[in-house]
Amino acid sequence: MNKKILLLVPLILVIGLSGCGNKNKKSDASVDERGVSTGTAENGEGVAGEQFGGGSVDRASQRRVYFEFDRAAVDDQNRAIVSAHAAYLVDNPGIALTLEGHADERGTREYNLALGERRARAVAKLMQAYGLAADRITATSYGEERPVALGHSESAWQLNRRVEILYEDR
Amino acid sequence: MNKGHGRAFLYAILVHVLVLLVLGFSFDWRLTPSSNRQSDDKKVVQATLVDGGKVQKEIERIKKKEAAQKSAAKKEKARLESLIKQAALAEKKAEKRRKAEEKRRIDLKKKKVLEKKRKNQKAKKLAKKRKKELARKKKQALAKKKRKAQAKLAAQRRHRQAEKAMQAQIRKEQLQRQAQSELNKYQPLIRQRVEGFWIRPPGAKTGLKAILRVRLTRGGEVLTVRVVRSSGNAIFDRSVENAVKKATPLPLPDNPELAEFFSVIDFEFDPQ
Amino acid sequence: MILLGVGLQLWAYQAMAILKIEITKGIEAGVPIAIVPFGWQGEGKPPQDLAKIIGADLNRSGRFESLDKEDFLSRPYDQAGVKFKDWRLIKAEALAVGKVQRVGKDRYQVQFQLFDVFKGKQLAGYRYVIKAKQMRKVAHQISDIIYEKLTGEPGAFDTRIAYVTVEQRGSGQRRFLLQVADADGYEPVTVLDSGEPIMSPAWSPDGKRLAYVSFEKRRSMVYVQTLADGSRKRLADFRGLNSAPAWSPDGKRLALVLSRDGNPEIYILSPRSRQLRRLTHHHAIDTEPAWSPNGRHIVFTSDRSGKPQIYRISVGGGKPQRVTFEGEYNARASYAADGQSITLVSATKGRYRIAVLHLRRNTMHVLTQATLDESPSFAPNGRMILYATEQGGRGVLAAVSADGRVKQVLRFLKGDVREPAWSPYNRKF
Repeated sequence: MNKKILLLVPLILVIGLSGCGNKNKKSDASVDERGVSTGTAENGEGVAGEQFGGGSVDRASQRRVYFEFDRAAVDDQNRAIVSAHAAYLVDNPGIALTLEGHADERGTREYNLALGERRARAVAKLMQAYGLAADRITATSYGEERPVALGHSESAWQLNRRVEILYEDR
Repeated sequence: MNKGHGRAFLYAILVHVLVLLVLGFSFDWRLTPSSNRQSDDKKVVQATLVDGGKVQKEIERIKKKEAAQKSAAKKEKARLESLIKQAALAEKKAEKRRKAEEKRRIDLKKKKVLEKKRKNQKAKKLAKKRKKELARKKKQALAKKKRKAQAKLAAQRRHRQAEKAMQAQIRKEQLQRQAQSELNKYQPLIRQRVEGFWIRPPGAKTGLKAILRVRLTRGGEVLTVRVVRSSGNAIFDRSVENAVKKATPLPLPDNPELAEFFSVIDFEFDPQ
Repeated sequence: MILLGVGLQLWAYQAMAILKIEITKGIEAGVPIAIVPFGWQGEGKPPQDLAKIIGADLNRSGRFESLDKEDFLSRPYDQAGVKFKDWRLIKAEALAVGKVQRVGKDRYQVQFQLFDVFKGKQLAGYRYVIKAKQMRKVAHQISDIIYEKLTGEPGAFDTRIAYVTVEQRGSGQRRFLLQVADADGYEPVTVLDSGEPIMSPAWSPDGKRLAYVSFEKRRSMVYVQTLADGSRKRLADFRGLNSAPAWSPDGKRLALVLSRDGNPEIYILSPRSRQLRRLTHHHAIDTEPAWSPNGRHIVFTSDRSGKPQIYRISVGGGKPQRVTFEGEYNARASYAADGQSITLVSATKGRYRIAVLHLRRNTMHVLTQATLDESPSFAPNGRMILYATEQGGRGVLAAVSADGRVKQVLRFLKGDVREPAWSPYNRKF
């Protein structure tokens, strides 16, 4: 787990996020269909990282957006990733986007399939909020069927609760 | 006495009189064979007291008086006849008396013999009676003695029985008290043992209830199991029957007298 | 003193009257049964050890405890050899004996008898003439007969299960297999082999078809496959999710989950008429529908309250009623055949376990103790629940008795096994 987080941390470091967080609070609320309860439970879960400095998202290595358990809200750090991709896609209309939602193994498979889809749709809405046309986005879900990390601990789970940002040529 | 005899007597007397008349009257009448006669001879004697001397002297006169005599003879004959008759009558009477006397004598003798015999018998009887009485008394005494002994024995027995009964009662009460305490002790043991073997059918609806009557040996072995009240569910009934049968032997007191209190048990299966 | 005497007499009367003992408790245990190894008349070894199969079946149900054959005092194979005393001694309540006889080329006569040991009478006796490959099926049928005779309820051993096996093949390639096996996990048959995930197999009520979710087109779609010939149809390939198929009890409709309207909702589809009707209307997740046995209600999982809970809705529509209130996470409910209870995944403190909720009494019993148990489904007789769990880092299938007392992991030779679904009753042959 720590190894992977350590890999992620330097990537996060180059992202300049300070302004984005506040700017997009509104769209955050609209994405989270259950409103206020979002992100309040499951303390300590999710990718740990500090926000500081400035810079730009390395899109090539930042193709995943992570979530808290049983949640589809995109936090500020992940919002920056989404924003970077959205900006890129707006500039490159020949590319179509598939957002593939995933869940960790906990909970039932069908529920997780729906949860994965919810996450994908949350990211899709965010993409739209950043200006990407809806018809360029396909949101889908594999639920817990395609984990990237095996194992039955939070270190694996946090990597599996994700939306994969996949570019396809139109 | 029969008539023939009487008549013979009469003739005999008549002949005697005639002989006497012929031979004179010098005979001592005492020589006449009637010495055995004791009394009632007076009339006969009087008849012979007719004076013979006068007859001699008066032959003429007799002759003369023949007719008269004749008539007198006749008279005399009549008289004699009457005398004979009287004598016969007397004889008859005497005979009768004799006979009566004889009879009386014989009777007396007989009576005496009889009396003797009777007395003998009586004595014998008395002796016998005495003997009997003695035996009876002896027997009575013996019986009394025996009764006394028996009574004593009975009394002793009664006493013993009473004692025994009392002891039995004490024992019984003791047993009952013990049984009660054993009951308090063994009832939960038996229950636990059966519960430990009762596999409750999980499908069994609550409210199913069955009662089994179980007979046990004093060693606690299950002899018979009878469903007194069925639950109506064959599976449930089988489960409870099997529980009891598998639980054999059930824990009972070692004392067989106490175990007796557990010889029949009704198990009520009422799942909660 | 007099009172004491009277008391004693009364007591004596009562004592000499019959002692009464009330039994209110029993034990939760299997009925001890002796299954004697079947006699064999033929060359070599018999094709199957029937007694072993039957014993394993009965043990798995939790209703029986198959006694160790080492304890048997005799090993009869028919009534003539049975001495009930031998079996009472080892406290067996029931005794099963039988024999297998080879009667021709791949022809076997199987005979079996079941006895009530304490009553000393026969409860059942059957004879079959079969092929070697039917041996296990006959064993399961015998298990069913024994189960029914001794519990009064039908057995569910001669049934099947469908499940998904994930196999790692060379070069890290994963294969997803949809498989069908006997209820004890033996005789598996692969009915679909795919490089993409397969989910949620669901039996048609006649046991002839399976509906399932396949990602072979890189997104979830619902298919229906006929087991006899392997033919299949794509039932739902709408935009968005197509998942969680569930057959109505009459087999004419399926409930499924579609997100074609923007959010996962329950729909009812009549395949013949292609008629589709939306049943739920809520922006939360509504999924995992399951029909009540009478076909009037559907229970489903919804997180409309904030976390997944079970709701019930009339098939005709209307306002869903929440069913579960206990536990932080309740999902994937399905009904027992009697409609009285549902089995579901229930989580507290992050532990996902199999539970049974009695609907009328509203009492929930958690049956398992692991942390990642899922996909529970009742046996058709409602007495066992098949579910998926983890063992040694891989997914396995396990069965738990409906009272939670007996759990047994089914034997699978390889792969990661998941998503089990218990078939309805098989028709007998």
